[in-house]
Amino acid sequence: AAEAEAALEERFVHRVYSCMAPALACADEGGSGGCANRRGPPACVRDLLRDLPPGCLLADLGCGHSAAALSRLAAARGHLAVGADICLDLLLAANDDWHRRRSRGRQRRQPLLVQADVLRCPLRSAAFDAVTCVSVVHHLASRDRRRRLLAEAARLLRPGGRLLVTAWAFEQPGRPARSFNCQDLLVPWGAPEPPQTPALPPPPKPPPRPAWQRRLSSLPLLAGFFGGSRNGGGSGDCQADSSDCESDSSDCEFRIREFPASSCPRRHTAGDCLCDGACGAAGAPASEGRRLRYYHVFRQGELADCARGLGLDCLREWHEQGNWCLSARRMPPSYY
Amino acid sequence: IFKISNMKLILHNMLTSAMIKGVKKGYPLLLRATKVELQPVEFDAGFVVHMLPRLDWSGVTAAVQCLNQLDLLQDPLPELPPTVPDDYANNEDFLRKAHIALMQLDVIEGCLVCPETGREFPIAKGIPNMLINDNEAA
Repeated sequence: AAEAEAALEERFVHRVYSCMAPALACADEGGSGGCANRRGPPACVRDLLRDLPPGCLLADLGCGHSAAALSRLAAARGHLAVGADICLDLLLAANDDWHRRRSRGRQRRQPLLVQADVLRCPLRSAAFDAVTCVSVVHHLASRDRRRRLLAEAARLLRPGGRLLVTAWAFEQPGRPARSFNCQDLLVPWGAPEPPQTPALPPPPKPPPRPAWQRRLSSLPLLAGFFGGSRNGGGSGDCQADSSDCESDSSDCEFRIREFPASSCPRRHTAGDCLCDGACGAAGAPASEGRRLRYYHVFRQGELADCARGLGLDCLREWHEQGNWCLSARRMPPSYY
Repeated sequence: IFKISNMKLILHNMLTSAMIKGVKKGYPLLLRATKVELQPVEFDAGFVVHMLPRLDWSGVTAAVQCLNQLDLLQDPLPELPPTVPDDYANNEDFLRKAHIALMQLDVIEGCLVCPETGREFPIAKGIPNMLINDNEAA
């Protein structure tokens, strides 16, 4: 089972980001990167950097290609950020991003990057004043692994240090409130389909898939996401304040969290199948050109529940632009 | 165009191999550098003052000694005292030496080595690769 989880993440998280790294690096230019990148790091991260006294050490677990943006913001406040990510392509993209902006005459402290598995983090215990983990924990395929990530984050923090974790929310903003119809999803990335030519020979019969893959293809694709009007989903337990989401949604439209925006610019209306019918029946594997990413979307309170018993004092959970954010403080060892 | 690397001693100070099975401390990692460079980085006294209490100073001095022994630079890195002086916040001479070691020295090529198992972590394009295999994990 542990192998299956790691394999799922390898195929539907790491490989996808690796492939898309060059596109991400370019998309950042127009300020139209993914949610964590639009006009720089998200508000919750900016707030954390502002709350910290000057000159703090920050670790960003799963930093991705936005490490440069974070390090610029951190440097502006006198902090130092260390970014760790499993994907070398994303780290190189972050480095490229820093160099591109540096050449435009902006002197900023360079991001410090390390290629690492955030579940086996090569950073010293209790060395950091703050740890951020933005849009990472939702890519882990089991509760055990998600807890391991939070445990690593807690380990890195000095007593009193601050943790910020964000994850895609099961409950989505809008009026009426919507939610996904399931917590474990494969989300298509709007990669352009390769052109179909009639001269293509019929595809060879695929070899029988291993059990974990057969289980995987029964995960619902994002089609049917808009359960709000059809299924009467969105039980109304979404506590989101609609003012949080004004910039992202209007009455009858909902913009999917684009990653990056440039590859999925369309606004979708409720009821649309996001795959435009290409997904086929819910058991069929998606076509090669359409990259699927695995997400476990979090219910309200689930992040705090995940962090239970790890030496973290959960301060606040809130909904921000379709994500649950959790702010916590590392308790001194004597507390547990 | 060669991109400046980021394997600085201030990063080295944060790194450990303790995620490897059987490793008790895993710190400081040995610096087996084959190519280093001194980069121009603006001196910011306030930043150094804030960072110093957050570092493991013995790890910094060990790294500087290690690199000076390798003799890869035209001029060796300035020698650092074994402990941070009490007046460090006002001691510009000391702060500047610390700045050179922590922020200006870049390890371009080489590897980091676990002090307990000898396991090597390569540095590629300035980024240290600290990934381990499943059978090495604690």
